Amino acid sequence: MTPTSTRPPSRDHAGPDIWCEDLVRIFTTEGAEVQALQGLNLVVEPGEVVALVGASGSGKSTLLGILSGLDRPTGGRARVAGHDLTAMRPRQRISFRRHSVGFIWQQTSQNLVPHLSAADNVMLPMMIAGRRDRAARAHDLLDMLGLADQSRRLPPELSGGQQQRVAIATALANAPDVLLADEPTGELDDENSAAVLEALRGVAQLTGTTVLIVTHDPTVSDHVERTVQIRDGRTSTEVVRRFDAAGRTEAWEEYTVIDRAGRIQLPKAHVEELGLRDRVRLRHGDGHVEVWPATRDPRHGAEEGS
Amino acid sequence: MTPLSWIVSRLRAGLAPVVAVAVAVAVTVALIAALPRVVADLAGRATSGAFATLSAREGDLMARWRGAPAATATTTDPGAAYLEAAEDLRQAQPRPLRDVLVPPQLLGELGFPLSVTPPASSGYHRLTFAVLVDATLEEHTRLVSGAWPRPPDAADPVTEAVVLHDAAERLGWVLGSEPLPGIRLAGTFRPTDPHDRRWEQVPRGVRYAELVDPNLGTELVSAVFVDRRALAVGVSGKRPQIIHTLWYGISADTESAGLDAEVLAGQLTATLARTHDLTTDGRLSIRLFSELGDVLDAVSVQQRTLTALVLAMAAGPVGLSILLVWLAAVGVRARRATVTALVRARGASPGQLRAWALTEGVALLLVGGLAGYAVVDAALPGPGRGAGVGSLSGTDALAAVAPTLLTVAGGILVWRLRQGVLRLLVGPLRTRRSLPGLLGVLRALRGSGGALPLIAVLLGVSVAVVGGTVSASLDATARDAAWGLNGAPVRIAGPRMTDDVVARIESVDGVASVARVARVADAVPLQLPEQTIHVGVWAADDHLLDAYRGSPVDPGLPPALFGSADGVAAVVGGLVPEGATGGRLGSVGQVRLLGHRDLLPGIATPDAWALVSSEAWASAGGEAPTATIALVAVADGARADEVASALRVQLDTAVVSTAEEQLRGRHVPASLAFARLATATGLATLVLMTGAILAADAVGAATRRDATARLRALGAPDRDIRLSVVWETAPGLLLAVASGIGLGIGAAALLLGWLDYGFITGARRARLALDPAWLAAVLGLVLVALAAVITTAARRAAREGEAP
Ligand SMILES: Nc1ncnc2c1ncn2[C@@H]1O[C@H](COP(=O)(O)OP(=O)(O)OP(=O)(O)O)[C@@H](O)[C@H]1O
Ligand SMILES: [Mg+2]
Repeated sequence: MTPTSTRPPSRDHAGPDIWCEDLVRIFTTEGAEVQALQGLNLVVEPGEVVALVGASGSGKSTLLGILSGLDRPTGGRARVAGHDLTAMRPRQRISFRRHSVGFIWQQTSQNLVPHLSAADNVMLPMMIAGRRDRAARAHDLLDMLGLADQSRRLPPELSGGQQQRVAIATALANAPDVLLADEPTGELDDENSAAVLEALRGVAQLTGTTVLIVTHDPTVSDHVERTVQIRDGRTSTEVVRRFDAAGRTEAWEEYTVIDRAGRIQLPKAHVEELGLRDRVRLRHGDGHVEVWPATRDPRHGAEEGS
Repeated sequence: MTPLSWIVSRLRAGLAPVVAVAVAVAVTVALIAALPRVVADLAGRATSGAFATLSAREGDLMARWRGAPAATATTTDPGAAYLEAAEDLRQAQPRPLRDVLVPPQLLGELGFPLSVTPPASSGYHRLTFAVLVDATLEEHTRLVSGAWPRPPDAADPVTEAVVLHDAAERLGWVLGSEPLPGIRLAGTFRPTDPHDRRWEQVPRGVRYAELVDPNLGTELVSAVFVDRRALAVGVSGKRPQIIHTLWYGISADTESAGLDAEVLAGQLTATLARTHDLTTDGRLSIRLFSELGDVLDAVSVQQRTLTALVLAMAAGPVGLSILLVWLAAVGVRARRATVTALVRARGASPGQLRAWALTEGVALLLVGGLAGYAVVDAALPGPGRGAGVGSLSGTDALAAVAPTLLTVAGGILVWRLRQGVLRLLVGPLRTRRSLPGLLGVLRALRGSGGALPLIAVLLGVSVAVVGGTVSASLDATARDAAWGLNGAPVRIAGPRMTDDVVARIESVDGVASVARVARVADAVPLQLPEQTIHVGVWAADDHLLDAYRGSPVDPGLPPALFGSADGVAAVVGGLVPEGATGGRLGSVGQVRLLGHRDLLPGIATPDAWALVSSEAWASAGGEAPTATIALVAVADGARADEVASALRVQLDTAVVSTAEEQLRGRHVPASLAFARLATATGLATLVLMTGAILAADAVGAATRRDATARLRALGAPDRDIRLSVVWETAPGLLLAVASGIGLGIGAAALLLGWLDYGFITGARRARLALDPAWLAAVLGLVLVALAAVITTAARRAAREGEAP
């Protein structure tokens, strides 16, 4: 795959690039149990760019750890780029890390080896994977990210934004199907954040890579078509952006997840605005269900929906 | 980017810890490389030390044979032929025996000595001269006057000879005269080196003797030396029997460094067992004899003991330096943890990580190893040929590893003990509401990081203590042995200790009292209630109490022994059973037994003996020969060696010895070298120990960071943070110091019990003796080192706590 040409996603495997069902991760430290993930469900199709948002401690990093093959789930099932993460042997896991996923962490210093130049950093995963033509590909990747001039510099000599872009190039070095980024803009100012997010979206489009970005950044939805909210270790709601023919945002649609028991979770904003508490009144409409505060009579209400 | 450039960049990125690994490797290699050299050096000292004190009679390989001059022509020189054949024989010996033997020498003594009666004016009643051929005389002497003798002529009744210049001068002989029948004086000589051991084989070559006969007067005894060819043609027209002595001296020079006495002894035995032809026609074959074999056996015991001691002590520095290598490597790993996590996440396999680490490790081992080896090679001479540890016996090998095993076992015990002590500390700290102390102790209880410093301290202290204690014990035992032989500060043996002689001894300045000791009877039946045993009886006067006073082996004789009030009292010893209070002693009858002692210092007591008062013995009718031993007590402020020299002048024929001289004789070069080695090892161990604890603490510091941050969050000042580190580290380390001293003394006791130190201590068993100065020095150094380590750790903790 040449990174300079836009390609529709082509995959060796069938189905979504990321698929999680009832994912559970329990940490046990000093006797106490922490349920970081409590039955999380998520599906991301090839080529999609998805943002994952949620409060601190909601389990975002835990999810990414599992998806990148560094951590193992306690329960549930997960499949990334066609690999079943719950049933991988050590050899497959190494191959999975080399070829199927790339990642970027929040700390700029965690993504790059400080004593290697930008180009060498990009080449490092290729060397690990035993790939040929390392120098040429590293050059192409850095060029694509607008860093051709900086290839000889060491990470400490680069700005935070430049470092994260080198990190993107490094993550893409072995042309993975899936790119995972855990708060890649967390240490950057707004300007640099925007540049990094644009670069991510750009290369994803160019290479057909599936991208999952974890972020606190509220502006991230401006750069992605789908934003998934995670709450208490579960995906709760989703906002999907529709574009018109001219590529402008046409509409925002809000989704929530309904589990197998039929439970749904309403966005916090709505709950507070309408004072939904203890009990809500449901009204079956034509092809939809309305949720009303228990104290208001839907028959006298002015607006519909919730 | 290639795997190689990746590894190089990793190495260059964290140079300091990498260099630390290489240095630690260098130290380890240097220690291990130095070990055989040190052992060889000590072995060499043992050999050369033993050789240096050998007399020619004890050391030289000798052969003797008789023969008569056979040739008539003066052209034949059998001396040269013998020497050449003997030199060939030496060259045919295997190494190292060949190098130990110096080129052969030959002495021929022709017939009976020549005797003349000189004029009365000479002061002598008779002159007696041996006629000698010293085959290498010209090499070892200097002509003072005249010329070397011309070869004798079978037909000429007069033969030329040279004599010792001193003798010629004393007798007023002139060159060209014929002072002895058939001998013409051609020249006079002096030895170039009168102390050369060769002269022990040719004593008449260095001095003449004067034999005094109370009735006849003084006789001068010396020798004339004739040309080598006399061995073929005889002297003065006669052909007397010739006693030939051929000998090889033993070289005690540095060439014998690292000599393995066991190998040498084997080669020697083989050579002594065979006969060797000195002539091609097979008419003369000789057999060599020597007492060197016994000496070598003793040396080989000494070498084995020293080797085992060195190995036992080497365990300290070597173990600690290996610990340092390990810690430095762990440090490198810790520093790289982030990068390692990153490359693993990018798909590096465990195999790849191992391969990189292995490449680095090999490179560092090579660089550090070569550097360490180069340093040793430059600083210490290589082990000489024939060098070797020899084969350690099972006991020796066990003794060599015993201190290490003891330390390991002790380490486990001390770890348990530490947990117990820490738990005991928790209670009081809790009630005294000392939060930093409590936190520190709790951290020490939970963490396992304390084990490495603990082992380092244990090993360091115990090895430092072992060296000093073994050294001090050998010293003390040697002192015991010396005083055991000498009995008193000054001992005199030889002359019959008549009242007159004793008066002369007492007249010497610094003599406080003189105890006469006499062997009065042998094999006297001593009837005890249970059995009868035959004893040798020794009698002494009460000055013996003074003579023994102040000796480290004072037997503490009861003064009642010399009270002559009621009959004969005795102290018995050796095989005489203990416990009896009375018995019948030969013709003396009933004796009171006042006690039992193993030995009587200064007196060569037989297996079973009894010591009585000479006065009481005589008055009881016992036979009382004159004493031949006197033990001299020295006055306060007087020096034993000065008293001894004065006594030597007073009593020219007596053997006068001091305890200090005896002690000096026991300080063989190897044991002195060992004492120095013990000091060096002790210091090296303490330095390495400090390094190891520092390194271990640096590696473990990360685990302390959280706790420090928590304390700081609670608003604790630096002082409290430091205090908590002190409470965390100090109890365990102090416990290790105390245990290390105990273990060291225990290991020293093992080493003393298991190895043979006869070369220093004689027949005595080495006894454990502590050197308080040494122990205090070790303790002081260790405490200073630990204080430095704990301060550093506390400072670091306080500093790191500050950083957000
Ligand atoms: N290694 C771990 N051991 C124990 N608990 C953990 C571990 N990692 C995460 N947790 C816990 O799991 C929960 C989820 O953590 P996670 O790091 O996934 O949250 P997050 O959504 O990434 O938060 P943030 O936005 O602050 O990064 C938290 O309560 C956290 O304390
Ligand atoms: Mg996180």
